[in-house]
Order: sequence, then C-alpha cells, then structure tokens
Amino acid sequence: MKKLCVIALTFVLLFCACGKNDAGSSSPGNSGTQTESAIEALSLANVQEEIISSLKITEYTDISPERLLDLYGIDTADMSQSASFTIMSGAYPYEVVMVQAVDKAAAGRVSEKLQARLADLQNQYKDYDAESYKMAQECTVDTDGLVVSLFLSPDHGKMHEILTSAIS
Amino acid sequence: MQNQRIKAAAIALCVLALITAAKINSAKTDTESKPKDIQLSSLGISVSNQDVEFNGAPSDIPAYNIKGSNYFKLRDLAKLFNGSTAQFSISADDKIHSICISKGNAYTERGDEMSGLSETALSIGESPWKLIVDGSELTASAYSIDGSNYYKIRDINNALGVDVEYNKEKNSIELSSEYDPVVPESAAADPSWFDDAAFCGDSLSTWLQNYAGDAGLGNAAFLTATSFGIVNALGPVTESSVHPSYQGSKMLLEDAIALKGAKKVYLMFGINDIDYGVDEAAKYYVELINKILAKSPEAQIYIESATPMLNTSKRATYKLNNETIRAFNEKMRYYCKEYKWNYLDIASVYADEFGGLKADACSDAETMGLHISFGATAKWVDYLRTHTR
Repeated sequence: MKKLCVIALTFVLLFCACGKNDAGSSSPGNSGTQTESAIEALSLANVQEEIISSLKITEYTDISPERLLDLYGIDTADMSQSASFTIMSGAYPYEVVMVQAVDKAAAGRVSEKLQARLADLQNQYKDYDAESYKMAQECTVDTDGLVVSLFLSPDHGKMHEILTSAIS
Repeated sequence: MQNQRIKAAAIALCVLALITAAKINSAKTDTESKPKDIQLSSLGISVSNQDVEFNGAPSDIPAYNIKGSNYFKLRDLAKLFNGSTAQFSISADDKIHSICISKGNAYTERGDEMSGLSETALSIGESPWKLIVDGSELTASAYSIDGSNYYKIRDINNALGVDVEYNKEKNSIELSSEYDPVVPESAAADPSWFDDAAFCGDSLSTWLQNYAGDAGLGNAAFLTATSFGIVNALGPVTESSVHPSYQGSKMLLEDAIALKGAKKVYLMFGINDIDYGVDEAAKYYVELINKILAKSPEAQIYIESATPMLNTSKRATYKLNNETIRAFNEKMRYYCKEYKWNYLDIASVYADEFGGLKADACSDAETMGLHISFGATAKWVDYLRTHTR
C-alpha cells in the first residue's frame, strides 16, 4: 500500500512539476521569447487597419515614420516598424502612435518621447477643455515587449485591446 | 417750298465751308514749326538729370526740375506705376476742368508716354486744371508746358500711395509703391514652397499638420499647441508651461523656428490673448515676432488673421467676441504695414454675412463654437497656397 502511495505521490509530483512548467511559460524570460516571436510576425499596419475598421473611423490621416521625428522626436533608427495616424472627428486631432522598437533601449527612448507628448497634451488641456483633459488623463503609454503605443482617443481601451490581441 | 430748300442747302454749304476752313487753320497751326522761343533755363527750369527708380528698378521716366523740385507728367507716372499697388487710371472732365485719377485701376497707354523733354517751350504757365484723386480735390503745384501738365512729385506722392526718397550717393530719385501688407491672390504654390515654413499657433492651427506633404503644406514644421497663446510663448519653458514641441522637446517658439531653419513663419494667435485687451495683446504679438526675428533674421513673417467665433459661441465674453477679434486683426494689419510683414486674411474665408464663423465650418458648435473642422481647414490651406509672396 505504502509503495502504491509513493508511486501515486511521485506521479502527482511529476504531474504538478509538468503543470508548473506550463505555467512557467508566463515567467518573464520565457514569455519574452514567445512574445518576441509573436511580435516578429506582427504587422502594425494590419493593427492600424483593424483599429480603423473595428471602430469605424472614417476621417484619419496617416503619419509617415519620417514625420515621427518632427512630431514626437522619435528617431527612425529606433524603429523596426510603425503605424501612426491622427483622427479628425473632434475639435482637435486624436493621436494613435504604435512603434516597434529595434531593441529594449530604443523602446525605452520611444516610450519616454510618447510619455512627454502625453504629459504635454494633458498640460495643454488642463485649464482649457475639461472633457479633453479627462480623456487625456485616462490615456497611457504602454510597452508590450518592444511595441510602444500611445492611443490618445476616447477609444484608447479598445485600441489597446486590438493591439495586444495582435501581439499575443 | 423750293426757296426754303435752296436756303437750307446754302446754309449747309456755308457751315461746311466754315468747318473746313477751321480745320485747315488748325492743321496749319499744328504743322507750322513755330520756333520754341522760351528758354526754360531762363525760368529756372531744366530737364532733370537725376535717375529715377521705381520699386528698385531703373526707369526712363523724364522729369523737369523746376526750382529744385522734380515735376512729372501724370501719364508717365501712370505708365510707370501700372501693375503695382500704386497703379491708377486718368480721365479728363472738361465740365469741371479737372483731371481725374482713379487709384487701383490699370492705366491704358496712349502711346506718347515717356517721350523726351525739351529745354525750350512754346508756352508755359501754371496749370489751370484741377486734380481730383478718387473724387477728392488735391492741391498740388503743377505747370503746363506746351499743353502738358507736370506735377510736383512730393505734392502728389502720398495721395498716389508712393514713397519718394532722394539718394544722394546715386543722385537718383527712388519711388516705391506704399507697402500693402495684404498678400494678394497668386497662382497656387507647390507644396514644396512650404518646406522651409513653420506654422505657429493655438488649437485653431492644429489641423494644418494634417495637410502636410502632398496634401498642400509640404514639409513644414507645425509648432502648435492647444491653449497656446502669445503670453505663453513669451514665458519660459517649464514642466507645466504650454509651449509647442518640436522633435520631441518642448521649447520656445523662436528656438523651434530657428532649429527648423524656417524662412517663412506663419502665425495665428489672438483667441487665447485678446482677454488681455486688444492693444496689449497686439503689443505682445509684436514682441514675440521680434524675438523670432532676433533668432531668424531672414524669416518672412506671415500674420494670419484670427478667425471669428460663432455668433452664438459660449466662449464669447465682453472681452473676447467677434468685435474684439476684428479690432485685434485690424491692429495686426496696421503693424504688418508698419513693419513690412505679410498679412493673410484667413478670417475672410470663414466669416458669414454677420462677421461670425460660418456654422458649417465649426467643429465644436455645442461647446466653444470657435474651432474649425478638419474638412473646412482645406479652404484655409487653399488660401495659404494661393496667397504667397
């Protein structure tokens, strides 16, 4: 009986160990590998198309990667790809910026620039337009692996969901 | 009855004979080469030996120097000024014995303009003709020499909108048409014309960046920020200050313009500053432009008039309303003339018959009632492209 229990326990432990290994795929190191491979196949242009069609955005203008330097200070050398556009349905432009950086350090620099942009806009709206200020306060700059994004729009949540589902 | 017919025929013949005789006499007077026995030099008159330039270009317009002042024939001046802001047409009104000038009208040449002057004359005297400029009589020293009227340029230049300067080094007279800051309509500029331009302003100007590239505004820099104003622009850059960002860094407008290397600086301000008072805001504006020019001395300044707000705008106060916006624009137009900057009347693109913002151009009718929609901004871009210097 004892033998049986030991064998059963061993199986249980082995099973648990296997289970733990599966769960371990969400650990930073392993997840990085998986996310990075998902990101390798990622097309931010497709994400932009998905955002535009899902949210039925009709008036928008693309921002070319070269213009990101003037507008946000993002250097093309820091990007492996990007998809950015402005939406023209409000009193001021809503801004969507998605950048895949070439490496972690570049992602940090891109994030810093977008954080500065968001802070600037929050500051501009603060004593001027309460509604826009509230919206800008809810918006965040997110980093998913090497992908850095800013969705300055009332639909920022949905936009980010579309991006993260494309990454995963 | 037959007698009456004979009488009528005789009278007609007499009239015809008289007319023919008169014509022959007149022709004789014209063709007979009477000696011009008046030596103008004996009256202190000479053909001027000074060169004359108009708007920087040499001209061959002749002039008499009469007692140290230059006198020109109106038709010569009309030909010279044709096509400039000072152009005018000439007509004679025999009933009131007046020469009438209509400013702004193109002059139709007669063919005898700019002909050489003689040192002798058949007749000379003060001109008996009155000079009327746009309906108002102008008092000016004028002489009639051999039937042509010569006017003292310094008596008529202001009325004609022309500056007169004497260049001692070159011994020349420099005429220049008075500066009109309002940029006239021109052929549509290629988007690349804006490659060295910077557009500066508040939230009203933010849509312009969506017309960059082939959409019209080329590779211009867009230095705009919501709630940005002249007073913000004059203040220092701090964490909480409102200044535009260029290449990812918040900076002073004059620094961003210099960094861009902009040669054409477009500015639209006013809405966020008129609360300080029209005169004060305009003075701050001039101060800001001088700061820009101190760092970019070659930049051409283009002031865009502030656009109106809806007549029902909720932002309207006793300090900020369409009347004060108009007054502010007029003030800036005045400064443009004084400092030789360019003035673009963007407000005219969007004003309805009451001077308010056209409802179909407004993107925030329910809230502020002053922002222009992205779609309506296309007209603004068209105006910019078709009003260049």
